[in-house]
Amino acid sequence: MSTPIESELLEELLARCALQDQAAFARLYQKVAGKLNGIAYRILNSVDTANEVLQEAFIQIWNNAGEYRADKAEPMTWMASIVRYRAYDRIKFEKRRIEGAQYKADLESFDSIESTHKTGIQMCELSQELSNCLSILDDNQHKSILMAYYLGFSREELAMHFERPVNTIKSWLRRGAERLKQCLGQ
Amino acid sequence: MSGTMKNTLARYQQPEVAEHLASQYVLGQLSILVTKRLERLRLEYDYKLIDERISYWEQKLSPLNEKTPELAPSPQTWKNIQKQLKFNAAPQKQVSWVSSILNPKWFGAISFACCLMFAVLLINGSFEEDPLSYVAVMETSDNQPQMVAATYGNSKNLVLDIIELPEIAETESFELWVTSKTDNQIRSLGQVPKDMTSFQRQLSEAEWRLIKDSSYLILSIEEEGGSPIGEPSELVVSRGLCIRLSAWDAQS
Repeated sequence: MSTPIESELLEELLARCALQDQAAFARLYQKVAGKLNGIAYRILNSVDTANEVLQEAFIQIWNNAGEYRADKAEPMTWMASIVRYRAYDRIKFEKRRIEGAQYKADLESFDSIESTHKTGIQMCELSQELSNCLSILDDNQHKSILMAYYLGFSREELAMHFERPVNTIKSWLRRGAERLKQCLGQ
Repeated sequence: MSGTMKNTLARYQQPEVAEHLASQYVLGQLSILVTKRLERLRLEYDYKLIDERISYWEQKLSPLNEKTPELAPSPQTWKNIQKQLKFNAAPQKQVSWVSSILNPKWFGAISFACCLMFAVLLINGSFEEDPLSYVAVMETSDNQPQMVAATYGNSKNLVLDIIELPEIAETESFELWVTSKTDNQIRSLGQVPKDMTSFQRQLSEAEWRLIKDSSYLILSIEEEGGSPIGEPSELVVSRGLCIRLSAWDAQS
């Protein structure tokens, strides 16, 4: 997600944040806020709500910087995960995904990411591994995993989209994850 | 802690259960209650297996975030963070070029059109690494400029500089649309925030293709969350011809 040099810098900035270094936190914000806001926007499809989630996420990053472990995750993966979970929470809490244009935009965005993964355009080595493993899944497993992760679709929303029972969606997600793990390795 | 809860937590230590919970947590499929419980438990030594499996799934799926376009946050977001954390220092504010040029103390007497042309020439000469590629000056029906939309060819950034937009209700939002030269279809480029003077976000590949085929842009007032029918309402605020710049022509 970031180059080794960028990762080292972000690790250093997170370490300094853990020591309550406000200047490091400001620099970290300048380096990654645009990317993290883009991830929030991808899920929420609202600029205002994305900014609110970004704000919550950065408060959490500051408060939990001491919990970051470089041996367990890339710094960008750790921060992006915080943003994603806050965005998923927001959708669940507000119990809403506005119908119409937003839903359509979500699916167009999904088509775009899906076609990228199918064709493997501009994929780095790590992405290629994931792309290959996603491609061995059943079409429904593949789509439901991507729509959940990428757009924050709940099981109920996936059930509506695919016109299938929620239990079927649960099964797709579970079996899909199991097959993905087998392919990706431990 | 009740017996039922103890049994539930004991199950979380079983490898199959931990794996399932971790994968579904990373896919955002757990309820808020279970999500919060896992976030608390993963910090405890007894549940380190869950923590390991969550880290595994986060890392393995992280390439899916690589192509997500950036979206510049609102300047207010950083101010809110500073306020909430009781900070006092502010990062250097990035001022967009159109905002600077539109500052009335600089060019109060010069017409907007001349100002924009000057800006275009200036930008083409000084930022060749990310050239301005398309510009649309959005005007009302009585030719009052309301917003400038510009895209940058290499970064595929869309920059909107708001000059003046009408007040709208809490339950309404602005939405930007692009009309195609090829098929005359109108497609959404997403919502425009209500309270920002400058807004920047990276376009997706699909949106960039829309810009390259654009005839003009339209700004409309829609209900909150955007048009429910995927078409602009009758409340069109402004529109502007999309101009492809020669410097970008030369590069592409």
